Amino acid sequence: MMAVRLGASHADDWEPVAAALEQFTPEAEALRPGLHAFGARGPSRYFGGERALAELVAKAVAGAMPSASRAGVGVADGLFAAGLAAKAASASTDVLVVPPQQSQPFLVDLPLISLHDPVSPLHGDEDGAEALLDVLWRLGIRTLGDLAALSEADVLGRFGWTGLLAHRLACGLDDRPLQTEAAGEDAGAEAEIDPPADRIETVAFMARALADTMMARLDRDGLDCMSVNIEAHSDSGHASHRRWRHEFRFNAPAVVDRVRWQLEGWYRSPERPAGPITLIRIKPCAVAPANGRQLGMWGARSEADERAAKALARVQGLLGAEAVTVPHLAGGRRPADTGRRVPLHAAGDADRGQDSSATGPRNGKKKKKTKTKVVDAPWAGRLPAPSPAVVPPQPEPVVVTDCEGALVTVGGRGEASAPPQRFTDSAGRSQAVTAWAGPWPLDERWWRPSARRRQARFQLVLNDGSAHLCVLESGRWWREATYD
Amino acid sequence: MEEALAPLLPEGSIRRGTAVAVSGHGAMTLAVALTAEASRRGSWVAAIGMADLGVAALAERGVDLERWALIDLPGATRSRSLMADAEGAVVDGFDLVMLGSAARVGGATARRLLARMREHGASLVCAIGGASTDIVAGLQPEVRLMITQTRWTGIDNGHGRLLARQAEVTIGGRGAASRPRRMPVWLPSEDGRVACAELARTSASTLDLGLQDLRERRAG
Repeated sequence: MMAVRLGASHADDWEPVAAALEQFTPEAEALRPGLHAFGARGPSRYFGGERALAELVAKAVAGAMPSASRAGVGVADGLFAAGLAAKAASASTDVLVVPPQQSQPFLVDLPLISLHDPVSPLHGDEDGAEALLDVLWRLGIRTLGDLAALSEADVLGRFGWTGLLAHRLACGLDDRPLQTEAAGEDAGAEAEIDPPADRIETVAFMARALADTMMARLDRDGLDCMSVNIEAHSDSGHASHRRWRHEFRFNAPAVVDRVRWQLEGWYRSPERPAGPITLIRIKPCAVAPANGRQLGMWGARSEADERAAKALARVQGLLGAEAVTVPHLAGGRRPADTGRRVPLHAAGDADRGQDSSATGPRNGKKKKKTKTKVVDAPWAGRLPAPSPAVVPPQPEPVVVTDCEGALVTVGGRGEASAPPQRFTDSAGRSQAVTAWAGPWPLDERWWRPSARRRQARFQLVLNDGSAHLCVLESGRWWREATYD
Repeated sequence: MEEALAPLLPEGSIRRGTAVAVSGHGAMTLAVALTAEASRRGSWVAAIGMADLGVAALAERGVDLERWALIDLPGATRSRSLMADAEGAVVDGFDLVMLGSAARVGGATARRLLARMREHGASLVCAIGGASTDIVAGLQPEVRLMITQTRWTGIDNGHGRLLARQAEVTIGGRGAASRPRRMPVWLPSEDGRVACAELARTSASTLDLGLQDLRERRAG
């Protein structure tokens, strides 16, 4: 298996890379934008060995990327080891070939959290993968080598199917060979889009119905799907054809995500389609018997959850995926930092991104714990509750003056030049300040001159009873939030 | 429905298929508090056109953030019918919908929305802030909560900080709420609760009585 991995900052420009891989194999699969894999055995024979092939691929990928970015190419027996080898390679040499049967020695020193990497089937939280990693961590298992050293029977007995999978991965035994057989072929679905759609959201909305159909057919046959072909045709006769692999198994929303990624990549690429999209086709291409992992009869999603999810999908179709966000608490000192809005389709990854620096693995419970930890960490200088209920996306420029009409400033000792007396908003409406508190200085990121921010914050209560959080920065006043 | 706010509404809770309009300074805090209990009990809440909702304040009201969705309506670029479709879709899928002042609904749109709300048993909480309640007249709000007077405590001239807010809410509306009433409300109180003022004061003793009652019944 060969894996190609782009740096996170360049993952959006993955389409040329996928195209470059096509000169080596017709069966390259994308796991997500910027993470691609294909079976290396055949091509490596033709191109003169795995290392020669890996170097050719690295060169082709570097040529396909317009910007100077790092891409790693890794070769190993299974996808898991190959993906981690590519990750290691992108940090140093660009190419890392793990010889046959040597996956386990390669994996031995990698941290346990590697089981949470996007190439791992335990990437999501299905079947309690996160709980498993959390327990293993608390049992003192720190590396994949520690896990591999346990007896397989003990792991299976204690942790069940998920534990066994983790153990096999740690041992370098990847359960998922590349499948190209035609099983599940008839489960595919396609739809003509009439009138042709020129917005990705419209296509994604139709793809949802196709994905539901496909998953229902696979369910009927008792199959899980790990890999799908997605084809999109445009009015102008262009077509985009990609194969996507899921690190675990697809469900309908995951298929729709891939459709979205593929179209976004297509529209960004030099071969972008000239006209609107007329046809979308989804076909499973690697299936396996569903091994009895069914949703619980209770404790799964409620009917209300399903209804809400459907409504949100519909709204995303109308207004665009970015229009729907979920609130998310984060660490920080300013109101705009402590509460964030995360796009719905990225919500599952929100914690992940935030905790990337955390050393331990997490699970559902732990996730909350970690979140609370970050949020409740002593952010010195954060204003205590109550928090402002209205936080505009952009602060509003305002003017705060003293009794003589001069702008209120804050001196080097952190004292206001004079009590604030009048407040004038950006529309020119002026009001008397009836009560005020502050200034509270805030000096963030003083260690990096370019990102440094020095502010003095005030709470101002105005004549009409409204209260505002105003900040003074570089001699200018802003209304950052309102205690509405 | 938060018990501490039950006296604000004629039936003690927001009736399904109806709208509640909240206006004045502090409307956002009160509107969020009205929805908090429902989200904790597993209802999904969608906030439409509230791009400026403070997430930290949301959490302080005890909202279950995992059951909240925020839907932005980036104004001018969107056609009205698209917005109306989106609002309709949300009402179909959510038990409780918050509408910010950015989401204008009037005339035929409001009538259609109201019909869908009744059909699906969804309730609407409109936080319209300083705007006139006329902008939601089309939704025929059953209850109008007007925050008429507010007073912040804990802050002085250069001392202290915002600690608590006392507000007077004028309750009006249709049907059972048509006779206007006034009620003092903490928005929030010093311990961070949004509650009707008398209830906040007596809640501790009520609890004691309840426990005593329970003990007596057990003994009996």
